[in-house]
Order: sequence, then structure tokens, then C-alpha cells
Amino acid sequence: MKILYTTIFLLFTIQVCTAQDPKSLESLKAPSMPAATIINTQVNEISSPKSLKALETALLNNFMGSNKNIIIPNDYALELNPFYLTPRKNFNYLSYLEDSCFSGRIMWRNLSLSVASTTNFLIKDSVGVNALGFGARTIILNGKVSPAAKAAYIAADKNLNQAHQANALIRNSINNFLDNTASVYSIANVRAYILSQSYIDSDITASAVNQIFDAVPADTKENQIKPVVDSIQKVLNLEKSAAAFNAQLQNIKTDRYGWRMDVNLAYALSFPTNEFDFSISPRWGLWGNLSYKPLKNLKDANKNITGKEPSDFEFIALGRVIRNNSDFVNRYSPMDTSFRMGNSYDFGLRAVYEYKKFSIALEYIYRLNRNTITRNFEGDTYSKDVDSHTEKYVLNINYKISDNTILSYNIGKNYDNVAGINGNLISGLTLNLGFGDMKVQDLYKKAQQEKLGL
Amino acid sequence: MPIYTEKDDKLNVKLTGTENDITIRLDCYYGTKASLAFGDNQLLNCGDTLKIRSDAGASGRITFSGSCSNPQGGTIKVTHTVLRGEEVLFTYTFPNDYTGTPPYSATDKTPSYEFRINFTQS
Repeated sequence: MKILYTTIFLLFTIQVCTAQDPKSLESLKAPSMPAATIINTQVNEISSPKSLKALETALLNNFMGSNKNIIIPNDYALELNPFYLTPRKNFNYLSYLEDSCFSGRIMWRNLSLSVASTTNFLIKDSVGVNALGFGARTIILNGKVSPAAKAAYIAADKNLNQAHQANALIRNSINNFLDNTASVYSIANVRAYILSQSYIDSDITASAVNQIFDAVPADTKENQIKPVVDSIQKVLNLEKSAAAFNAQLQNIKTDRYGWRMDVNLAYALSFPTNEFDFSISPRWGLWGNLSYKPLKNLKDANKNITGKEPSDFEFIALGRVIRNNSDFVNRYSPMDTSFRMGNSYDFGLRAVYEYKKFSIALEYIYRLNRNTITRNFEGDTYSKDVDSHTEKYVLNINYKISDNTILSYNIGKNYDNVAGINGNLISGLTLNLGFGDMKVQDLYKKAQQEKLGL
Repeated sequence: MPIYTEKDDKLNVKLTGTENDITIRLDCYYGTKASLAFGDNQLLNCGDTLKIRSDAGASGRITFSGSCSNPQGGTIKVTHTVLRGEEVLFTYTFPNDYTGTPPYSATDKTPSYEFRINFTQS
């Protein structure tokens, strides 16, 4: 048996972050989803339509050829959260703070269905064919939101509601002012009228109104006062509140403590002849991740405990079953006709610790392959289950040099090949650089602010 | 982004002189957040119902000012159901039923809108 150790030193990968997201390198991480995992494809971006119209557009754009024929796009992935497509009449965003275990509502809310495709699903050494992956995942244990994050989320929800209320009430007051034939138009009179309303200092502060009117150009005509005030209010208040709420919403969905568990189901379908009328499933899989993140004390500058927040340490356990279709393997990837691939069972552990600019992750996965060997003897076929095991471990160290630059080092060993022991050691030093300037939306906002003299 | 202003003569209610109240109910869908103001600082949030006026009384008109967004980036849909007592007179859905000026832009993340209801004697 040949043991091959391949060591790759100093593998520099420079990835380019476009101007869409100049602030973070998070967007450069390859996203994962069960549908892509089961067909071994790595997608750069997942399409996540949030309406039926967007779903229709995504499907037509990616799976419909120029001759209106169905095509399989390469390295494409689409993930759909059915909950988003339901009407959700008068949805209460505070319900995201629920943390009950095994709740049908939480499982439904977090259910996502995915489809991934590739034109390079390997069936022999270098023969790639079309393949589709189908997946589903959900969360069955959702952890808890820290008290600090909960308070920040509730405040952001209230701020956004108040921003909408302020926008509607101020515009209504301007309408009332303009409809009143006794009113004499001037920006000062409109401001004074609004400041005299009953909602001032209950729903909207006088200082917020003054801030808006301070930015109204002095030569604003009567027929322009509403759109000008509306656009200033959006820049100063509504858009900021919406962005802050969205950030808190993402925070309470992801930064939770305690026990969390997700389950994933995936099914692969390949088209060995690249024709749609013949397909065969190479494998399907079921797996789950159980994680635990403790709470830690939150301290102020004087080291006094001011609250609790999720710890920098997280522990994750993985359990996975992959069912290989031996018919597919024997027809398209024959290694040994007397050898039938069976199930693979993975058991893994991962620990992640983050400290300021450093993060370190250690991962270990044990894989048990249960295969079958068959022999023909005097016209009869005899079979026997044979277990073999292999393992994978990776140590990953990241250092965030700046918002746009992360240096990471990985060292580890991948699985041995199922047909033999081909040990491999991988070591890589990666520098992720983000290039990009201001987003188009930010440019637009800046131009708008400059135009308004803000 | 502009204020989406519905045509002035689109939404009409014929008063029948009954003792019923004319009310409006605001419902939001797909995670939309919205507020609607009218009259003397009356304010509705998603799920609220409020009296607009009495069915008995003089003709007139009322302008409604709305503000909405969908924090999760999904479809924006706000329905305004006008009732006389328990009877539904009509439902105006923004932006699906919007036919005013300027044309609605789906890229507007925080649309402001206005519509008017004209009350006439039957």
C-alpha cells in the first residue's frame, strides 16, 4: 500500500471582494447547504428568493436555456425558506425571541429547502456529468438569546415602528397644514405646526422634528415640502432604523447561547449520460449538528459585571449517515466488482474559540465505512460486511489583520480513499484580501445627503 | 424615493345615513411593517382597526398617509379594509392596487404612500 503525503506550503489565495460588501470578509466564505454538500460542489453564492416572483425569476434565469430548453447550471445553488413565502399576516417580529425546544413553530420557521447543481459531478477519474442535489434542513433546538441582545433587539424593533409612525404622522400633519386655508405657507410655520401636535414628545421628539426641518432647504416650495421632508426623514431616521433592526434581527438569529441542534437531509441525483431521461441517485445523507455555547459575563471598563453575553467558545458535535448507492458505484465508478459500497457513518467534534482578532478551530471526524464484499463460488454468491475506518482532522487559525484582510493557517489530514489508504496531510497559509470601495447605495445616500446639505 | 400618491377619485364611499361607524383596518403581510395616519393624528399599526367617521353626516374626504418596509427584504403588502359596521366596503392593497403617480418601484425599500377616500351622500 502506498501512503502518499502531500504537503502544500504557503498556499496563498487572494479572493476579490467586490464593491457590494466592502465592510466584511464574511461574504467571501463559501456558504454551505445540504444540497451542495451531497453533490460535492462548492458554490460561491446561494440564491435566496424571498417571494414567489423572485423564485420564478431565479428558476427561469438559471434553469432555462436560450432555446427554452432545461439546462443544468454549473455550481449553482438555490435555498428557499417556505416560511418567508407564507402570508404571515401581521407578523410579530418579537416572536423570534422564542426559545422553546422541539417546537413545531421554530422548526417550520427555520425550515429551508435547497437545490444545487453542477456539471462536473465526477463519476470516473476525470469524467464530470450533470448532477442535482436536493436538501432540507431545520433547527430543532434553537438556543437562547442573551439578555443584552434581547434588549437591543426589542429597542431596535420599537425604533423602527416609531420611525414608520413618525413618517406617517408628520406627513399627515403637513397635509392638514396645507389643507387648512387659513395657514400661511412657510417652512417655519410648517415646523411650528408640527411641533404643536399632540404626538410630539410621546411618539416623536421635538428635537427629531427640528433636526429634520433644519435640513430642509430654505427655498423649498409648498408643493415640494412633503417629498423633501419625507426624503430627509428617511435618510435621518427610517433607513437607519431599518438597517439597525436588520442587524439586530441577524444577531438574535445567529448569536444564541445554550444548546442548538440542526438536522439536514440531502439527496443526490446524477445524469451519467447528460440526458434528462436517464438519472440515477449516487447517494443520500442525513446528518445533524449539536452545539453548545455557554454564557459569559459582560464587563464594563472598570471590570464590573454589567450583564451576560454568549461566550467566545463553542463546541459542536456532528453525526452523519451517508448511504451510497452501490449500483451507481459499480456502474460508473467501478473499483472492484466484488466490492459494494455501503453506508458511511461520521462522528465529529469541533471546538471554536475566538479571542479579539484571533479565532482557532479544531475539528475531528471519525468515518466508519460499512462495505460488502461478494464472492462467487460454484454458482452461489456469498457476501460479507467489512468495516473500515478513516479520519479527518483540521486545525484552523485565523487572524483578522483588518476588516478586509484575514490571515488564516490550516493544517490537517483528510479522509483516506475508500479503495485504499492514501493518507494525506494538508497545510495551507491563506491570505484573504477584500477589495472594494463604497457601495452604490452608500454613494447614493451620500449624494442625497450632500444635496440636502446634511 | 417619491411619495406614491393614489389617484384622487379612485376610492369612494357612499354614505347611507345609518348609525354604523365607517372603520379602516390595516393588515400587513409577508413580514411588512407599516403605519398609517389620518385626520387628527389618528394612527394605525399592523392589525389595528380605527373609526374613520360616522356613516351619517356630511360629504367630505380624508387623506391617509402610510409608511412601510419589509425588514427581511421580502414582498411588501399592506391591505386597508374599509368597513361600514361589519360590512366590508372595499379593500385597497398597497402596492398591488396602486395606480397613481409616480409608478411604484419595487426597489424602494421604505415606500411612503398616500390615498384619499371620498365620502359622498347617496
